[in-house]
Amino acid sequence: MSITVIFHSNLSRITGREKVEMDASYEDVSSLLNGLTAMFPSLKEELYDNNGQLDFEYQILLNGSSINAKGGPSAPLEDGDEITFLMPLSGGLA
Amino acid sequence: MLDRKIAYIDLTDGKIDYQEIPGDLRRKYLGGRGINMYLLNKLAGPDTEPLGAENPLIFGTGILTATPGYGTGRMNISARSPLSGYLADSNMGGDIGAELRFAGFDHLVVTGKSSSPVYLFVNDGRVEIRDASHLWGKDTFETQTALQQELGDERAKSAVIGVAGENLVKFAHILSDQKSSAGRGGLGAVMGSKNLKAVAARGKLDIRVARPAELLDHFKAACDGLQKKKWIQALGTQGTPLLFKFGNRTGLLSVRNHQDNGMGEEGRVLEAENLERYSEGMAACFGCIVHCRHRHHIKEGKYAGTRGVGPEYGGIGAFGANMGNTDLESIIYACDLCNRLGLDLSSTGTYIGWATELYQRGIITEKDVGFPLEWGEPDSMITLIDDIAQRRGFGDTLAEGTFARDKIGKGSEKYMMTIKNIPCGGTDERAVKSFAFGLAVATRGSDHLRSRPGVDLFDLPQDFINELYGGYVSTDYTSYDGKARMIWWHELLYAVVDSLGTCKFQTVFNSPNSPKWQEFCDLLRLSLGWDDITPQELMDIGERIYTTERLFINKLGLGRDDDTLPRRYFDEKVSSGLAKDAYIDEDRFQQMLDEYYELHGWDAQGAPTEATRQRLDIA
Repeated sequence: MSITVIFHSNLSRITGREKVEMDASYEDVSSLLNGLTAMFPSLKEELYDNNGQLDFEYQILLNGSSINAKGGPSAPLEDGDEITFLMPLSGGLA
Repeated sequence: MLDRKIAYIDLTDGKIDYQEIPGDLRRKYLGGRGINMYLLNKLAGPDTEPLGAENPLIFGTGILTATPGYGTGRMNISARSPLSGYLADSNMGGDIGAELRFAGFDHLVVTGKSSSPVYLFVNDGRVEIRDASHLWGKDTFETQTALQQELGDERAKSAVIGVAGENLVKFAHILSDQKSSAGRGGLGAVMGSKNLKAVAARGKLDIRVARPAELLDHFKAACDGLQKKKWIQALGTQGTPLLFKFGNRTGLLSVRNHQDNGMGEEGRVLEAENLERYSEGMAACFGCIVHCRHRHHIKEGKYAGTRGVGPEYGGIGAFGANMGNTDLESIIYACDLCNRLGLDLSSTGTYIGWATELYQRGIITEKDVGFPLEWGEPDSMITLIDDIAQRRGFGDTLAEGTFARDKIGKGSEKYMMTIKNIPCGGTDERAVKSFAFGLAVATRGSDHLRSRPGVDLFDLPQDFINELYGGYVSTDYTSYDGKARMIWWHELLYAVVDSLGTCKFQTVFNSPNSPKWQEFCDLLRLSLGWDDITPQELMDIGERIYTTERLFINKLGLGRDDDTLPRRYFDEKVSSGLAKDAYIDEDRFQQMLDEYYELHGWDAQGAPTEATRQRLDIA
């Protein structure tokens, strides 16, 4: 009974983890984020901008699709869901 | 700062002509890629043989190169391409661009052919042609060290070719330091065709700016802001290899010559974290705060002693995913080998991947190659890299690059992944329509650096994205809507960036809040005293540069039919990752082309109209 959270890049450095299993009781992405920042306080500064808004430098995927297509932070969660934080960049062919 | 000159160097008769750069040309094209394109379009055309003495090889620093700005270590090198037959233009970093400016020059235009190997020494307002017989045959690292010793100055920088350039391999590159390269289009072969082994520079001439104190304050504030960006922090610790995880999960990799688009769990050994054990810290180009390049050292095992800079995400793609290869040390070694031999590693990976698919399909056999050519087999890959550079055996066929398809025949062209004869890199863009479209229309041929809108992946708020691009652009990266506008806008921006001499990593490439039109106007005002420059004028300059490039490739015979993608993008759906089942719809693609031409002011065949030429004041 859990929700899987996958961290990449900066976030896996901050948390020291690539994957975290969170309790399935979180109802939506927003409450899950609160749970994550309580567990890893440094995440708050990384994930939110100065206005307290989620920073768009990270894309949050719910089961592989952006949460923006599912209601943003209020996107509902269910047991077995997977949340992935990605930092999409472009460069580096050489 | 605007006292830097152009040197016209004729290697046939040894004459060197120094000329001022007219002020109105500066205001129309800035410098770097802009003035390079103006000169190339003026000096070369359909009768210019890419490996002929008449092909101008043009080195151009940006108008802000070596000044306090946003990664101002950049310069461009341009010519008619021996690889594609069309446009070769490559933007490179490192220190050589800054050193050319300190030595008094913004542009070098090299024509003719020396009767024996030579190098150019650019020093405090003078260019000398010097004997390079003793350097011929040396690899790129050895050549640079030998030049520093010969010049008695370890701060002398050089751009050199390796044996691949000497042997006129069609995708030979020009290298400075251990990694900075003018990679695409075969510029190293153009240099080799002129018997020009190196351009070395050392200068001590001041670069005077209009408002030095204000410029430094501006620069400090800009650096402070940029260093807080999360993507800059990520690039500064992991470099572009951090992209691999995202590419693999989303399905943006070329795997086994684009037969697949992800490596799944098997590919996780290629993620950035696994590269860190070889890293001895990060390196940067001149004046850059990002320092996005690993300095690597393999200390043990089969590849012990390998020491260099990189690899980038593209190298891991080229010799990892594209070859079905999960041996990370062999990938690092292959990248270094290419850099030492003077091969563009991205092109090399594409051509070897192509050959391996031909082998898989029985179109070529062990008899043709001389040894088995299997996916995930690094030894044969590394052997082929050396054979290509030396033009040995089957390597001699692959050294022809895209034109190897004519030598091999037997339907092999169907599996070659090129656009305008330039090989696609280690990514597969079928999922992201803007990325794919940008490659298709790029003036150089398959080229993510002409337009890649990294921010398309960010799923930004609709109002924000509409304002950024000045019109509707869908925030969904799988959508075609508005993506022609997005690509057009980025083409103009990157044309300006390459002409300023700043780095794309510090503009709207990876973050929408990075410096763009207004910030560049501020730099020009403080550096040059151009108080009346506006964002709209900069956009017009970008349009002028891009349209000049378009006129150049049009006169070489390219048009609408060439603004396309490999058939695989239209005919085959990708099979892995979040992008599963993505492909490019051909009708939607054609609609995008119509929108794109209209935004540029080009006709339905992709030719700039007379009205557009007049508006942009292009002769």
